[in-house]
Amino acid sequence: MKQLIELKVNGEVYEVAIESHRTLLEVLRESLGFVGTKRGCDEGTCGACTVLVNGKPILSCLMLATDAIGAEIETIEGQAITGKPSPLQKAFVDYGAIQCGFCSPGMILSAKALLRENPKPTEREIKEAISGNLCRCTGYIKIVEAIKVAAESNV
Amino acid sequence: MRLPKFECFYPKTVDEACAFLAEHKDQTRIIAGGTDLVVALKQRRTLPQHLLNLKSIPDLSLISYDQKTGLSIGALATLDDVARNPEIKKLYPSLSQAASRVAAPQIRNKGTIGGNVALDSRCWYYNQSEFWRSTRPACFKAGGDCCYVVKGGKQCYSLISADTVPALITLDASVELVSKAGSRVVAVEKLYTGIGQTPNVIKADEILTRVLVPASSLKGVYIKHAYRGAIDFPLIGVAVSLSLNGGNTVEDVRIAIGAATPAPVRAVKAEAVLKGKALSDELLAEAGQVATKEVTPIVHIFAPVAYKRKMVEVLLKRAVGAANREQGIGSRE
Ligand SMILES: Cc1cc2nc3c(=O)[nH]c(=O)nc-3n(C[C@H](O)[C@H](O)[C@H](O)COP(=O)(O)OP(=O)(O)OC[C@H]3O[C@@H](n4cnc5c(N)ncnc54)[C@H](O)[C@@H]3O)c2cc1C
Ligand code: SF4
Ligand code: FES
Ligand code: FES
Repeated sequence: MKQLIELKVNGEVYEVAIESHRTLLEVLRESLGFVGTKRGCDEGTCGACTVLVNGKPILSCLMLATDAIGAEIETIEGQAITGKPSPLQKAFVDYGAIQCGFCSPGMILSAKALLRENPKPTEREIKEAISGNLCRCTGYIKIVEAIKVAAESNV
Repeated sequence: MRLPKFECFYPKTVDEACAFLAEHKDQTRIIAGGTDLVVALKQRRTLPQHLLNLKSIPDLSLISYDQKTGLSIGALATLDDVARNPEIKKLYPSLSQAASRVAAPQIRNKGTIGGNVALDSRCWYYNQSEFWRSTRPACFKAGGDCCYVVKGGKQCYSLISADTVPALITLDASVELVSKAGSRVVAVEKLYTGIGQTPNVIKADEILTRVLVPASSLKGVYIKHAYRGAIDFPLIGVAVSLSLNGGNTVEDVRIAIGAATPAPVRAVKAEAVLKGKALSDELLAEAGQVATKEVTPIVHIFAPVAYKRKMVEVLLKRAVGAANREQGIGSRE
């Protein structure tokens, strides 16, 4: 049975009619068109589907869409500030932290949640914060560097 | 992978949830954080008509501590809540460590302590997609009559791999289980059957509402051994709680070993070796050797039994050493 629910994504409220067995990932990508959120493993092991729910990184492939009713959801599409990449996004580009780009939305959101809570993280804290996000391309060093630079330039 | 179809019920109170279960228990699965159940559903390991979603019950995630009654953790408290709680960090460090070592930050932000304790047992042959499993006859866990892990085995040997469980056992913790018929309290140590088909004694109409840890629990440590520092389940998890008598004589000690066997093992013989004696490298070596004989590890796809046995010994030594340092009065380096 479909029900009409409201989801608040990047500050805007969207109405969608969905069945109970839809994941937040499916609704974001397929119903609302937020295809920046990636589907990798689809079972919790890669972090590509990471979005922020009430400020915390979670895996949208493991979350029922109905569990997100009333929550603030943030996706990669909401990161740009007045049409320009955020300092964190810019640092990822400038420091070569993006190669194929598949892990980048999840990586950036995990990093964003970290920097909000802990604006001056140590390298260890950065590594811990992105430990649930796999990258097959960069070898992580450039990603850690980009997050450090963004932290130093005060996002 | 799409989820199978189901209806999701959001009760407002524990009573309402219990009434729903009393009526529909055979067609219902409880969902808390969903970090394990959603995978199980996607892999068609379970096909319930209904999900009973505990998320809508207020107050089920409260954590409170009282000097007399101890610690009470609502089943819906997330692993991140448990890992960061200042009282748990200070008074029950092994529990905080265990919660902080589960999977990765995203999963700890959603996965709950109740779901961790009630976690289904795991196996490399069974925790796979429906397609993968369909390439051979069903094993015991899937309703068939063979086991691919222990050849010729007469039961399922899947493993209780939840990280918080060994820590909770050494802290003498228990869980409150509530159903329409009433409530009961069961020690975490007594919760697991060792039989993979029915890995715990929680009944289909019962809800785990709280995890209770006595105020008098001994302090300790949890050491997780896994291939990767994040995301992986433990290959072996060792928890040790310890109290020392003045210098470094062991007054009391509790040891639990998780993930190596279908049910976690309380290493009582190794505890007996340590009790009343002064800690030394020789004593630790002896305790390690005794502990490894108390567990019969199940083979892991990447870890032979002999390796697991050796690691139980090594990890036990490390854990007792670390628990000793945790006391802050250990005389060893
Ligand atoms: C990639 C990945 C890695 C993981 N790594 C680890 C790890 O390293 N260590 C580890 O311990 N776990 C790990 N997990 C498993 C899981 O995320 C955690 O165990 C988590 O604590 C489960 O909690 P949950 O609330 O998400 O449970 P759910 O998925 O909601 O439920 C799990 C089970 O418990 C039952 N249940 C849940 N709550 C209750 C309740 N209150 N009363 C009765 N029954 C209940 C459900 O019916 C279900 O059978 C991992 C999972 C994934 C996907
Ligand atoms: S231990 Fe054996 S019976 Fe149990 S799930 Fe694995 S293969 Fe199946
Ligand atoms: S797609 Fe969600 S963790 Fe891989
Ligand atoms: S840039 Fe390709 S996966 Fe990370």
